[in-house]
Amino acid sequence: MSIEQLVRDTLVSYADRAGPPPDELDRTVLARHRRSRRQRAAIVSASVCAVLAIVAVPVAMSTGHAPDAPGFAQGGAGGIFDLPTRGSLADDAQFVEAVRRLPWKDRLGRTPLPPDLVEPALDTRRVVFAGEVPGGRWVMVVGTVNDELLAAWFTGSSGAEATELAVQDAPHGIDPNHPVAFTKAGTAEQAMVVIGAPGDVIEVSDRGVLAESGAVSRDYRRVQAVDGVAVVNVSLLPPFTQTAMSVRVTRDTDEVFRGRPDISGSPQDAPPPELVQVRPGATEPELQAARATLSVLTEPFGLGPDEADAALLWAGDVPSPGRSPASAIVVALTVPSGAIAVAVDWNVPIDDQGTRAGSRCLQEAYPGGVAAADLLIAARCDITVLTDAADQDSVSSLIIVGPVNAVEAKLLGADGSDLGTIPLVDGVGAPGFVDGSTTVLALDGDGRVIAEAAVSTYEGGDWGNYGSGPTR
Amino acid sequence: MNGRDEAFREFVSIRSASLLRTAFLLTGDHGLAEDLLQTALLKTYRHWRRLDNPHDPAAFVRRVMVTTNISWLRRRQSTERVLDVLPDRPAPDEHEAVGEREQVWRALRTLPPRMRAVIVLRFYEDLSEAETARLLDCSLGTVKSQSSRGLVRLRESLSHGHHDAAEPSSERGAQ
Repeated sequence: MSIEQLVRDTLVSYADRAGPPPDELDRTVLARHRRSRRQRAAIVSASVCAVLAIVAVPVAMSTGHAPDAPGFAQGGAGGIFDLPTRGSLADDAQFVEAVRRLPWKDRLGRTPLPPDLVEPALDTRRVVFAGEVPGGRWVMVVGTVNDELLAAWFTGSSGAEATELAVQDAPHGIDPNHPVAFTKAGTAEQAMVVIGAPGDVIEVSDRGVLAESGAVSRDYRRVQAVDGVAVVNVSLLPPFTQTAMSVRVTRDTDEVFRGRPDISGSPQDAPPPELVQVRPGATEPELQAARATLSVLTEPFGLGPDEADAALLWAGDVPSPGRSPASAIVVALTVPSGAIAVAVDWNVPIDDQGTRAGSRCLQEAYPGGVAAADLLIAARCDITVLTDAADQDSVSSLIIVGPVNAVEAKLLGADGSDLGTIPLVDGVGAPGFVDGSTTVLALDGDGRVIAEAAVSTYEGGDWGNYGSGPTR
Repeated sequence: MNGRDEAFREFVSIRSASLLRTAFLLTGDHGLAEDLLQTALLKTYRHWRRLDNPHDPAAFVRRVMVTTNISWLRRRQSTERVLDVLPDRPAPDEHEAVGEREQVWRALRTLPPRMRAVIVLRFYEDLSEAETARLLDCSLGTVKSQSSRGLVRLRESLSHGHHDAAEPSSERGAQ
């Protein structure tokens, strides 16, 4: 037998030893994704007021615990979750004990725990919150496994018995001293519960605001909290804002939490605004990529389909280190203030079946007062093939998209030095990046400067100012 | 559930078993294989909206598994030294084929991770040299040389009969 055949036989034989994939692998991955989203950094921006319509539902005082006393002392294994049960049902000792003993199973009888976690032992479990909320009855239970505090939310219909409650989402580890915010999608009436420490100030922002100046900000409105718990009727927020919400919790003068709530289920995505091609001729894959980018741009602002205008400013190829060029798209979203959010994304084929992957090379907000088609955008795009970091290769391009009457672009260095001129076709050029380029001037056929832009690149961070404080 | 979640769940349901087998071949360890697959699926989900063809992102998952596994091995090598000690070899006239496979398997686990990935992709996934090069983002020549050198080392594991202690897994000097 040849060594090749022996190797094939060996691999086939041993591959079978892998066994079946873990149960609920898809749910586990999605739960990890939601957890990690909470931790993303956010951009910092100026403050602009927005009109909010958030109604806080007072939680019944029920535990005898000192209400909202400032100066809550952190510490203890359970931290802010190591307190008597809070919520409108906290006085129902029989219900609380019954729900504490519930197995951590979902409505299909499955235990939605990641493979590396087990259900906490009963003697470690505590019921943190039990209450009637808009749209149902919710309970938060925590327990300890290997010194890690795990949390599970049980939900059911209004008035449900303890045995009628089921785990709503995959239980996950929590920090004992950081608040949690939880909401559930897909119900007619939607609540959000925020659990902090007594004395914490809890505020909610329904969505990010892109002001005419181009600044992204949020306006937070304080909601009523009892014993450090706020129950918010999310149904009263504008539509399509569930994924745009941000919660801020302040303890004394410290911001201890700012970020998105955990969203169980799939919130209703707003239909994206119609994508207008400024330069017609985009291929279907380019349009697909543009729609995906548009969705990401729209989400933090909670905008409905009629509230914004979307434009595909350009789609085309740029060099990549791989065998095929990268496909780049430039998408603009004009919001009600007139400001324009722009993203430049690229992707490359990664197999022969048409699968593509890529990244972002610009994400900017431009002040209002100019049409998206008249913007001058200068993005440095480092097209990097997704591979091990030590081996990755990249090709840098400068994507210039300007007014259609721009015929050339002049590149300037930081000291104003002339680094060359790039011909533009239909206002667009995508040359290799010229080292030192910091500014681009767009010139019309008469040699007049009609626009100027700094060369930008994407340096990461959330779009929408969900929060950059010390979140979980 | 939105369209992305539905498509992702369907993909995981259909492809996770075969992808787990590949992960097991890359890592040689059940727990690591599950972790690797879960991590790769997570990265894939994050890129889902950027995949023009989300109906079969298996190539993307494989690619992430390979690069992630290499990255993990490098991190582990900074804190531990992996030695793979062979047990007594079965008698030659007894289960010879099984014995040979076991030797090949054990030798495979000692190959540098990129070389091991080339062997798995070429001889288990049946990818062509060109497809393997694309997936690993390396040249055709690199795939040819890694494959050839890998096979030589696997063949040597048979001719040596057994090794007392295999080399620690290391990428160093293997590229």
